[in-house]
Amino acid sequence: MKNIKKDSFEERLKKLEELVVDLESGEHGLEQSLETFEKGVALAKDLSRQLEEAKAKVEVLIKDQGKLLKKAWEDS
Amino acid sequence: MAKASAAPSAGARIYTVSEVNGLIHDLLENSLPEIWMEGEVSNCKLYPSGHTYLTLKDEEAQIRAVLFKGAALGLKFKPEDGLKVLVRGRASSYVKRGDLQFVVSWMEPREKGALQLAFEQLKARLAAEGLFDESRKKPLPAFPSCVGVVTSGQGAAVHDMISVLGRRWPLARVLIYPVKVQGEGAAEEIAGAVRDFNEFFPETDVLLVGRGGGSMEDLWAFNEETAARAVAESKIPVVSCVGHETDFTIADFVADQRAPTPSAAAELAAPDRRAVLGQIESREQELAAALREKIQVLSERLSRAASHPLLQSPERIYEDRTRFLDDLWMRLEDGAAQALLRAKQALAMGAAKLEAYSPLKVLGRGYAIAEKLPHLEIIRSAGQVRPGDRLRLRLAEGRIECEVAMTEGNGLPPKDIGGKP
Repeated sequence: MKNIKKDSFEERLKKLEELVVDLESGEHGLEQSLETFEKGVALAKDLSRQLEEAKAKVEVLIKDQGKLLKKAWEDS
Repeated sequence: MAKASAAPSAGARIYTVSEVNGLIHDLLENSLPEIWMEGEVSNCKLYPSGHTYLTLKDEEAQIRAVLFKGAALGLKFKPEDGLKVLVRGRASSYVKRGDLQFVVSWMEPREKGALQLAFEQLKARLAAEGLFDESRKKPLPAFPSCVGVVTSGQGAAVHDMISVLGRRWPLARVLIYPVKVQGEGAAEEIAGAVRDFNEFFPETDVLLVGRGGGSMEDLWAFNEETAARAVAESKIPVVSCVGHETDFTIADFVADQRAPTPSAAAELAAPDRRAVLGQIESREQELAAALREKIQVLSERLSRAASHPLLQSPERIYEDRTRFLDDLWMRLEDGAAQALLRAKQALAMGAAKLEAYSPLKVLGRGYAIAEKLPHLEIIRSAGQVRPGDRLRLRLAEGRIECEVAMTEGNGLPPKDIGGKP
């Protein structure tokens, strides 16, 4: 299985889940807990924004003399 | 009745073996051009030349037959022993050996369709190779960033997939690789596209390979070995989607996951954005809850600490401390009493020794001790008194009180001479 790419959506979602687990453990002091909380909320907002603002990019591959050319997909 | 003669009659023609075999060959070929025949296959063997030699038989008779390479290529299935077939061909002979041989130009299975049989044969063969094993199935990515699509550039399938992917997971780049999905060369194009994705776009997270519905013949490319093998060998996980719900193709068996339709394949490959947004929101709520919990725990600890007796009445700190000090004091006093006692004893011993040097003895020689009234400081210097001060003089016997008339000499302030006498 392929490694998860750094800074990918999946990687950052995993990071968010780790922050939740970390905060829920209750092992840290108030100051660090606040820091974890703020980091988590910022990450969550960032992920949500990315999802809401994403626009699908569709391309078409055309084989031409053994080479693959990429072109924008035009919906016919 | 003519007697059987051992010798050919005069003028009779004598043939060579080759001539006879040639005659038989021509006779057969001319009298039985193309006929249909049914029978059961046995002793079937494929030779390296590509020709297949077999026997066709019924309950009472059998005939040797050959399926030349060219004719075999036109068949979807492979002849195998026990198969009941209908063949078209001609009776012929192998001139060199004189063997009778039926040359098959077309063959089809008698009990089921040729495609159905071909499907079953390839399925059995690939299954035996382990290509359908669950252990080979690769998991699909949870959040793909690139989705490849191998299907026809026209038709509903490609549009369905694009619209589902765009709606559910617009984070993913979609690469469409248009291919022929039916007819001559379709299987090769499908296989080539799957291989090209693996070679040129290995970052593709998942491949959707399929087409919309059609007849078994229309879907046939997805049942061909070349397409099936390309899908099986793909390092990129493949979701197959060929035809409608009930259509199963070989590609479906070798794919990592099979979807009933192209839209369903897109749904399998891409998570639902709204569901993921909900997930993120849940994480946010969990963060808030965890922080609230943390603050709750801390404030409980604080109020517990505040309700501690010491913080409720801080003087208790001193109670403890003073008790400690009292204790210390008592021990000190005990120690001091002991020390005092020892000092007293030492003093008594010393006093006896001092008796010999008693100042009274000095006074006896005519000296006096002058003390200033009213506090009886011992006067050692004239500077300690002023005219008018009253003094008391101690003599060896008795005392005199008198007044200073004048002073003379040392005007420096007196040295501290310590406590009272």
